[in-house]
Amino acid sequence: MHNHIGHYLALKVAQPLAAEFGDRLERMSKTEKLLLIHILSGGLHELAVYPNISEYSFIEFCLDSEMPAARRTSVMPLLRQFDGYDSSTIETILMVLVLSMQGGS
Amino acid sequence: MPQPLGYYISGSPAAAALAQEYGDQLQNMSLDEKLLAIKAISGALLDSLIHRDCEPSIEAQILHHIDDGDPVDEGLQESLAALDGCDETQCFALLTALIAYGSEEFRQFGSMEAVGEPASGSQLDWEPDFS
Repeated sequence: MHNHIGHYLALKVAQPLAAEFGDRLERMSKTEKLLLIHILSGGLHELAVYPNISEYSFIEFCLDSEMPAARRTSVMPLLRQFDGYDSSTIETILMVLVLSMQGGS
Repeated sequence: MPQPLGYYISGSPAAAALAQEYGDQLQNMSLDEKLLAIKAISGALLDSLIHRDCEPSIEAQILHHIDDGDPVDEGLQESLAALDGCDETQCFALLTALIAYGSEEFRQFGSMEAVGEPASGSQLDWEPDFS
């Protein structure tokens, strides 16, 4: 049984995120979701390893990676928005992305 | 109090074996190790979708990371390489557990500045409640 991604967001008491991204994330392919997880975790990993970094940008992380331009294009608008979120919200988004794929999308 | 890995992955003998083998290790990872594991596992799963002609490998992801100049603890490298024996379902279970285990630690980044402009209609004045 596949649950709408908003179901997982609601479980995390993250209704504002559900309202803003629910339908958008719901329509994403598995490849796009994995790409987002890869980029978000990679960006946060750099923050963890280099504590002197005082700000982060997933957009820049993605551009610096070896990801083919054609592959990353579809997620760039979302990454631009995620750059404005705090790390707790990013953690929620990571969890939602993983849970939604276990649901079969 | 962290939940055992089996809390996140249940329902199959393979998952139970995975919980027994990696549960303590995952819980004891530092945040940067958890994030590296998430990055490597998701990278391998991504490869399996994009490059269908080659064998996806978590170990290859780690070696690529090392090649880029970021050293990885040898023990961690071996542990992550061993995950190449996991199937896709187990990998998703591990991703879920790693993110869940890292949940509290993610907050350590809370004081850092995000560089992006707030998106129209975004909820930057709202903070998630994980209770």
